[in-house]
Amino acid sequence: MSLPAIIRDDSSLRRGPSDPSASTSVDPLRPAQPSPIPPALTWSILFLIYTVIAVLLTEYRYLDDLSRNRSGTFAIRSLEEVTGVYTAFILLPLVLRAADWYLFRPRRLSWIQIAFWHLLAGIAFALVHTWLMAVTRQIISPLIGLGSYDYGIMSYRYPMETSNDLVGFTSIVCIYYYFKKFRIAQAQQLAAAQLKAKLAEAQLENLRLQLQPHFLFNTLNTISSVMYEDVKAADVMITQLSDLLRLTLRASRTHEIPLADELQITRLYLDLMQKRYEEKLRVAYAIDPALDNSLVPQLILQPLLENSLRHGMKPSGEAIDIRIAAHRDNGSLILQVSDTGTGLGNGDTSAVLGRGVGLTNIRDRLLQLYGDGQEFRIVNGANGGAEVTLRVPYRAGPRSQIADEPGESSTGAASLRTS
Amino acid sequence: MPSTISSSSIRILVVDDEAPARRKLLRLLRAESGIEIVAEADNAESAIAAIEKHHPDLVFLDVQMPGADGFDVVRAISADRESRAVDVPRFVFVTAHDHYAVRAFEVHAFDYLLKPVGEDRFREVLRRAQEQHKRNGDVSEKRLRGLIDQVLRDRGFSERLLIREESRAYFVNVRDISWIESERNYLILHCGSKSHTMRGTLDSIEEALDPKLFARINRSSIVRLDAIREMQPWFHGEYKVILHDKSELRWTRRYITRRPELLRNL
Repeated sequence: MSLPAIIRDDSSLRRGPSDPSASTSVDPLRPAQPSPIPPALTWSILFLIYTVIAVLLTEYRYLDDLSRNRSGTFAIRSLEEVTGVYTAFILLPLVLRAADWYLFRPRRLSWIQIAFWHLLAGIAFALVHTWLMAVTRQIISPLIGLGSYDYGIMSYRYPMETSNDLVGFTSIVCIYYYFKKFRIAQAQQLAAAQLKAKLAEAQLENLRLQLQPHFLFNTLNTISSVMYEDVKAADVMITQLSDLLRLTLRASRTHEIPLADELQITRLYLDLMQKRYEEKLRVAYAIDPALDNSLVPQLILQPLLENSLRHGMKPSGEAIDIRIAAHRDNGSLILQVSDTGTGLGNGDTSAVLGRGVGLTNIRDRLLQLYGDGQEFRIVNGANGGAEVTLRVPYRAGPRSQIADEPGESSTGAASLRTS
Repeated sequence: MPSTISSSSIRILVVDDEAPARRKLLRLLRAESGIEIVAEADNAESAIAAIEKHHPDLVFLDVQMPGADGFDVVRAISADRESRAVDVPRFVFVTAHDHYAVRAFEVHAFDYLLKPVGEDRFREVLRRAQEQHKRNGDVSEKRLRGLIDQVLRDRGFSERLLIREESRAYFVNVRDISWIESERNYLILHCGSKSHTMRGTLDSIEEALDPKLFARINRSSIVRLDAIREMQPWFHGEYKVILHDKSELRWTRRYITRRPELLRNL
């Protein structure tokens, strides 16, 4: 099962960090894999290589005979080498499967263990190979008119061929090991590149959101109204808008940031929205302060909030409550955004995910960052609105950077209040 | 009718979902003479109610509002005109940034304001509206129709339908509809356990609905495709359609041949 095994290995890799949802048959989110080599082609090439080896070995043996003035051995040498090589070829799938078993386990074996299994597999291979050579030669030899074949005393043959076969076995396993390593590295590089592209896309998306003419012009319109009523409030809004633009513009290049930093961007955004909608938007935070330094994918909350505001608000103009919660659940960090808006209608999840690039992008990034270790769920909440739950592995990172900076922290603190 | 009142003062309604934006317009309006602010509204439904109640001459209408937007208001009022002979007010659209809407306003010669609203532009637009009002120029129904048609074309199919009852009007999201049944001049929208009744014909509503979401399955019903639980072959090449809400409908041959791609997919 060797080359099919190489291809199968790609799929086991895919199950790893990238795609737990094997059920979706056409998943546009599945990262592209290095194109697998068609098995038929691989086997044909391998067969050709083995044939070349058989020819070379026959030539070696035959010339050896000639140099010792023994002639007329071409047929028997051909028989010996062809059977020797092709029986090894027949055993190749088993060899590779065995190598897969002790070299590429989910939990790596120690070198001693690998050496032990390698030796054991090599000896087993040699014994079976030797036996196959004996049998095939004894069958074929009379058929092609060379008479009965004498393989000598088998109790000496087995150890003799074993030492020879161990060398061959080790070479094959080494070549296989490095080839497969190379393929895995290729796939990982591809996945990393895709993740990078996704992050860049999310940053762009977020930038577009903040610099979105709608957001910008509406906020400016609010400021131009508020400044007649309350100069100080208008001043605060201008600072907040500037802070928000600044934070977004210099969003870091890491995939994850401390929760406190993510929340600061969130608070600035929601604070501005709240000033636009006044009593029609109420925001509440339930954040476990111990989680400030835990890492979350950056810019993950804002698309959810935008979604709540854009699609959750009712045409009857009722107020909407948005609640952002973060807590720790054993090894996981749970982030939740729930609202009291229109909800998901008849629970049409397709309609929900169709609501914009934002949500699919989030799902995508979580998958690529955490694989099976994450969860992304959108349901109709208990309050009638939508409830989005993100579960990511809990990991504490370095202390928040932006929240401590002077200048920005003052307005940040102003926006900490729950509205 | 109020619009023919001899007083030259112009009666105004201000619609915006954001209170500071409404206050800004109100402040600008109060600085002018010859105007009367009759109401303000913060959503599409109450805007329609206010127009029907107060018959304003001029409506400053925010285009982007969550749920149902300014165009939904215009469409509802224009449909009103047909059924109830309500006077259609003049509209001045207010938008933050909307390429296709602005293009539509210009094509159909409607005035609009861009946010943040500038004082000069505001005065210019108001003056023009006052002049037209003095001349008692009629609001062209055709122009309004043209605007709605273009906007509909630009943004695709209806996402919600307006339901009117005696005392109120509200919107129903098309994704909440299971199926639509026609009964004489009325349509019954079946939405799970609830149902809503509106005036109209299946032919006209079929045009407004996205064929990716809905299909007409016989002379008197349209179903939302995602509301279908299963279909069983019936006699004469017809199908029995069973919905998630357990309704059973017939998909007749004539309408199957209209949408052959659906049965290939199913």
